Amino acid sequence: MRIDQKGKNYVEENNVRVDYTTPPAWPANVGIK
Amino acid sequence: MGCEDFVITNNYTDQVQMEIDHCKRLQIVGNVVERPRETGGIGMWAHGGEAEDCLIQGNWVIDPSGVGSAFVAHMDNVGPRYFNSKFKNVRILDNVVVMGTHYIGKKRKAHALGILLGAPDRSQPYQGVVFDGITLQGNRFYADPTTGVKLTEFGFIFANASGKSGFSSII
Repeated sequence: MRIDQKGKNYVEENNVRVDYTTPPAWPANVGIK
Repeated sequence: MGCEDFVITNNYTDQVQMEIDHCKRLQIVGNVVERPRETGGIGMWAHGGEAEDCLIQGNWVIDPSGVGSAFVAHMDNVGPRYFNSKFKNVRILDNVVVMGTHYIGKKRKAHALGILLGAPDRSQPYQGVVFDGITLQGNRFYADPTTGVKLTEFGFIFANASGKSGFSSII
């Protein structure tokens, strides 16, 4: 996001990207086939 | 028609999107949306209405396809029908996006946009659009780089707005 698009009521924090080689453990209700 | 005081929780869907429009006091919590089609996985598509006091928390979106993003809060298209769309107090928290699981060994590339706010096409004019009180916090975006997933120029979170679109701030 461009910095000039952020305002005082916009909060963006602690969002992370993870490059994986093995997918994360699925929650119980995932029906991966 | 809109919806008020709406809770969607602990569902699993495959190859459909979870779309809630014109909503107030909405909670989408703990769902799993696998391979949502076309425009997005979970979110609010405004057609000139309001999305107000919306919580999207603890959901999983796996492999959004088509032109889709995992989570969205945006106008669905361009034109006067989408003017005066308002998004107020929208919180997208602690969700998980997993990209690439269905693309291993295939030529098709996975898309890599996690959260999309704003306009689907910022080169088109809008009027009366408001984004006020947007919180994106604690979301995780898993991508398998071997399947062709790569960041767009905007990264995983993209607020699509410009002076030309008629609203330049996501506030």
